Amino acid sequence: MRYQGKHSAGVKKRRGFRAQLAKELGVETVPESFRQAMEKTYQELPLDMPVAYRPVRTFLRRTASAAAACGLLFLALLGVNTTYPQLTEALPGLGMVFQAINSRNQEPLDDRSHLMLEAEATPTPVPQPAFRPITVHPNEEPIGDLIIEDAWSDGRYLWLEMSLDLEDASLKETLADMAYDEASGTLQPVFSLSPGSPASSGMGSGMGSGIDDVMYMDVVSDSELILNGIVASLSTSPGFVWDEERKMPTASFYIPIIPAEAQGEVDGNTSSENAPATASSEDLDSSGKKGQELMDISLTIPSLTIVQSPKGADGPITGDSFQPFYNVNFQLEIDHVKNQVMEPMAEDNGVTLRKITYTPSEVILEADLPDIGLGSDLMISSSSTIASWDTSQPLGIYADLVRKPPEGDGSVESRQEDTGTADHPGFYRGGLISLNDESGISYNAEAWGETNHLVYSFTTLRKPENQDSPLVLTFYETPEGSNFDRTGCPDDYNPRVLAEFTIEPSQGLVYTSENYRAEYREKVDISRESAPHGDFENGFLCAGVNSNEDVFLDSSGQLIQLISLEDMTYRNLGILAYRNEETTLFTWQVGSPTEDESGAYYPWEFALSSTGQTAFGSAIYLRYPEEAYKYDFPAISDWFTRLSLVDLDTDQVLIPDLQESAAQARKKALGSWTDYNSQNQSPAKPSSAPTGQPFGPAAPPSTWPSSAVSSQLDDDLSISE
Amino acid sequence: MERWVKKAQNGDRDAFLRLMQANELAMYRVAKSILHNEVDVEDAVQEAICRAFYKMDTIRQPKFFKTWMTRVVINCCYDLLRQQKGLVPLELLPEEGREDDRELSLDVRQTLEALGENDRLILTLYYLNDLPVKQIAQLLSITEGAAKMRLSHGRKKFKEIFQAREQEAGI
Repeated sequence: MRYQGKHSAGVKKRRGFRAQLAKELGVETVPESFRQAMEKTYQELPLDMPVAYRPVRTFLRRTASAAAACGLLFLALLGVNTTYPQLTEALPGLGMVFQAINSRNQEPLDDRSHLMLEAEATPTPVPQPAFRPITVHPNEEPIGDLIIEDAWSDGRYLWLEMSLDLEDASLKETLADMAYDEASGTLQPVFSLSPGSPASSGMGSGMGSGIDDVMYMDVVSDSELILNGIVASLSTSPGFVWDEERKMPTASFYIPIIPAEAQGEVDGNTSSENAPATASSEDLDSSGKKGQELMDISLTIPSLTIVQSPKGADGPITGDSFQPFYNVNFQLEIDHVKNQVMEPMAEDNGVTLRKITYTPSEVILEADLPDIGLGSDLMISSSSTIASWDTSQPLGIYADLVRKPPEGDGSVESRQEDTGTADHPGFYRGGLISLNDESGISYNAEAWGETNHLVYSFTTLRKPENQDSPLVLTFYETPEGSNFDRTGCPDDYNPRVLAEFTIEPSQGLVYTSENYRAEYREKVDISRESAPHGDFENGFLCAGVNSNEDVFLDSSGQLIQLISLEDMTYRNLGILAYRNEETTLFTWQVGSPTEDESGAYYPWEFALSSTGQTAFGSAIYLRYPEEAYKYDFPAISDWFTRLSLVDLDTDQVLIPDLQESAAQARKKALGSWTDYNSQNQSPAKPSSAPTGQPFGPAAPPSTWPSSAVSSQLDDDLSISE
Repeated sequence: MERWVKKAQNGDRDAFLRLMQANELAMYRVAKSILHNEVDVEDAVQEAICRAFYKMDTIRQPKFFKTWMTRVVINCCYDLLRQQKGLVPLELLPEEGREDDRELSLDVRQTLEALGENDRLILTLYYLNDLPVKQIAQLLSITEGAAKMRLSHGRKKFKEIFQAREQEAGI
């Protein structure tokens, strides 16, 4: 059951691309020669297809048939036994059975034999069976049964899975019809768990609904879930969605469990940051395990409210409620068996994994990390990256935890086929929660030292599967590294790994691993003197050229960020922009920040953590001509084919191609692909610089249409003619 | 398709033929992405069909037939390449049967060939044969992350080739 449609992680199947690819590869259709060859092959195949002899299956089938026949015969004889017991008791073999049946019906057992039977019947311990579904009948409006399909808990989280066995076929048809939103390509919830005024908020929850337009009920729900006497609200749950395969509404909840001493209300689907006190070693005994306990669960669902009206159909409309009043109380055996505490002291590349407090649904990790610099040491604009992270943060602190699929898993079906999002079944969400023993506060650069003690908390998003499979914990240099934090795969860089560990709770093992190599990632060299960064050209480095940084909120230009190790505040610089045969020169008033309709300029400074040296930055926002952003031009970044940084005093071209320079800087700073098949390396990019054209004011630049220029000039940020 | 698979597993030859015919284009595309000429493609797919004929009963889950069949085709292609290795270097084998070749310059043709077997195969499996990333990763015995990265890389390479072709056409 999924709320989320195909939110592909940057790998979208565009129809035009498919057609072009098929054409370029010459595989739009099969050639006639191929078709004829296949026909010949089909004709030459034997007439009889081999069918595997399955002796076990055959035996079982025959045994089942025989058993069924015997059963029918016995039932017939039972009928005869009631009328003619003498006849059945005289049957060879079966006669003794009927004698026993008939004698048991005649006289009661004496006390002593009854006691002996009880003593013999003392049950031997049996393994805890899987959760048996519970059917809950409605106490009021008879719309159908609520079925508790599955319940599971490891003491940290509770997983509940439910379905509605509706009786009204037309209601089911209506719900099926309204469940799929063609515009967004997603499944929409059909029932919420409460009445109340509709709201227009989207979800954006960890369940990944991706829904913007659906009406939700955001008032306090009168549906109630009580765990061991503590209320857990279901108000933020999206409710029931339509399961197309099973033809019924289904719902699932994944709720953190508040320890008995804690009070208060906890929302379902709450992130780990808002979860109550996490499991600590005090929750587990010295062996790391506890005996199984029972959890008292009480669930009340008084009403079900239609969430979205069907498209132009008769039937229920938004806000219509049904009042079945489901109420069920049951006990759930908590599965503590896999919970444990490990103190591995495993080390990889300067990272020491000190302690792991493990339950299948939640993993708390304590690790010591080395100081490998700050994000700003990379000297790139975070706007140039996918993660767009705060570059004042240290490098190497970004970790993710993923459970590997079991070895030899033959299943190749994925419920989240190509999304790469956090709904991946093996993914644990979460991350850093405290630094250097100061729990509960956000990280800050001042607290960062040579060795740093960090605590991470990871939780699954739903009932964890394959609980015996190992976990892979990876520390990345930058937040770009995690596959599941990115919204798209990088084209030209491959983030580095600081350290990697494999954790096998079932074996109690923790060891270093190198799964990152399969992703062609580099490992951080912690002996480096400083973080890698792009090359300086004539004293300048282009940290980024981005059209997504929109100073004027009208997508009218690009932001260029420059870095120099010398104060360039008072350099007389300009950016020469090329478009076909024309050039345009952008200049700005040096020294102080400026912003007007023509563009913007902001200087800034920061310190390089390795040397303490001050680096100087300039952010220049160029406002492009109207034609570049108002008249359906494909991409503003393509309006000018090249941007160059020039020194207006000396006419020197400092950086010939700012975009190329920024791309190279990003690649050097964030990491490259390693050990990739040389066959697949990119060909040398053809030079985009026009030949034979002089740079700088010696060649008078062309201007935009005067209407775009004349009345908008400002002394601070001007466009030269 | 699941129904046909089950029927074929029970000995229904017609169901098997229908399965093969329905997947002809997909098998052709996979083989073409690995092998360089039409004759080899035909040989590999014919071998794959024969193997499938005798091994249908080994499919445990009929709904994964397409992935299974793709794996069979890939194996047959690699077997063929192994047989040919040492006989004729792959780089020297001409591209045959592609009508577009006549319109392409030598440089662009070489660039297409330079796209690489890995890129061609993964682009084919994902974009043309509609296999999800996880299945592709399983088929190629790589991680999902590596599969996504190869897709990204292959797409970027293909775009470069396509743009180069457009530039050539414009000259």
